[in-house]
Amino acid sequence: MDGAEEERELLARTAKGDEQAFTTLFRRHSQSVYRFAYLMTGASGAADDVTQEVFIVLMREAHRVDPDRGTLIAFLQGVARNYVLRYLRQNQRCTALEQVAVMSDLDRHLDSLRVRRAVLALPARYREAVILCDFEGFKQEEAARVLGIPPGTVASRLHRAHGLLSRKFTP
Amino acid sequence: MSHSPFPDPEGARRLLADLRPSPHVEAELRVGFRGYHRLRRLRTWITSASLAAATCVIVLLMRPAAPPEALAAEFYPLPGVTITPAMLASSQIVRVELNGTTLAQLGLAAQAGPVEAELVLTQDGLPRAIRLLP
Repeated sequence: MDGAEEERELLARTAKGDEQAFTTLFRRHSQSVYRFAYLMTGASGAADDVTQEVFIVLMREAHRVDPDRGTLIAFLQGVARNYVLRYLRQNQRCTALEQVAVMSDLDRHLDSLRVRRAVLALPARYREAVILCDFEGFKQEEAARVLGIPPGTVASRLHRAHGLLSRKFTP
Repeated sequence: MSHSPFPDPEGARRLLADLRPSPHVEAELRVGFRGYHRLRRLRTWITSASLAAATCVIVLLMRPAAPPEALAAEFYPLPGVTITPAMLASSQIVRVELNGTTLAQLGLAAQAGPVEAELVLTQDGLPRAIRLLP
């Protein structure tokens, strides 16, 4: 059974109330959803809330998700984006980036923080394109579907975002 | 195509790999999932039970008439009527109280008081057969 077929089956089982299937989907995709929400909001509490809301939607709407119209992760990121935008509207400014409590390596911690800060400093419309394409590995066409914009616009936003970021990462 | 400005894009991805939701998110979602589906099952059960009850009531109310042959055996055709099974297949039975005059008009022996009877009404609403009740 290939990945898409397996995902389709997991969705069908989730719709029927199979908790194990739902948990499998959660463990498979929650990190990506959380990462997107965290890098967009800069707040772990908000990212937790967004992740929870996204999977509540999946819990209720699993029977409506059509894997033929796009990947499940694209659907989940689309839902996450709606919640993130609502959060950003309500909170206007991004919260200060939180420190991650447990990091094994200080350098790694600092590098990670630098990347997060740089991403968080981008305007939201550039930030979401960078997170989806650079960190989550979405193709531009797929990101375009999630963001509801033409692929060409994704490309131009990525280009501008990369321009802004490169200034921060150029020694 | 724009290239990622991160010094090491793969490295940047790896740096962010430790970003994951708090464990309580999964725990709360699983509890929520159980509750949601329990409620859904209950709702489905209640809906099915209500539908079954409603179906029973409708079936009882719209109980089909006795087979035409049985009706033909129990009822007397009214004057000038020839009862056919087809005529009785979609008929309805109504219970009425008939006085002596009406009974006489129907060609039945007149009685002093009212008599309870059942009439077979065909689809056109006309009485076709009668049965006097004891």
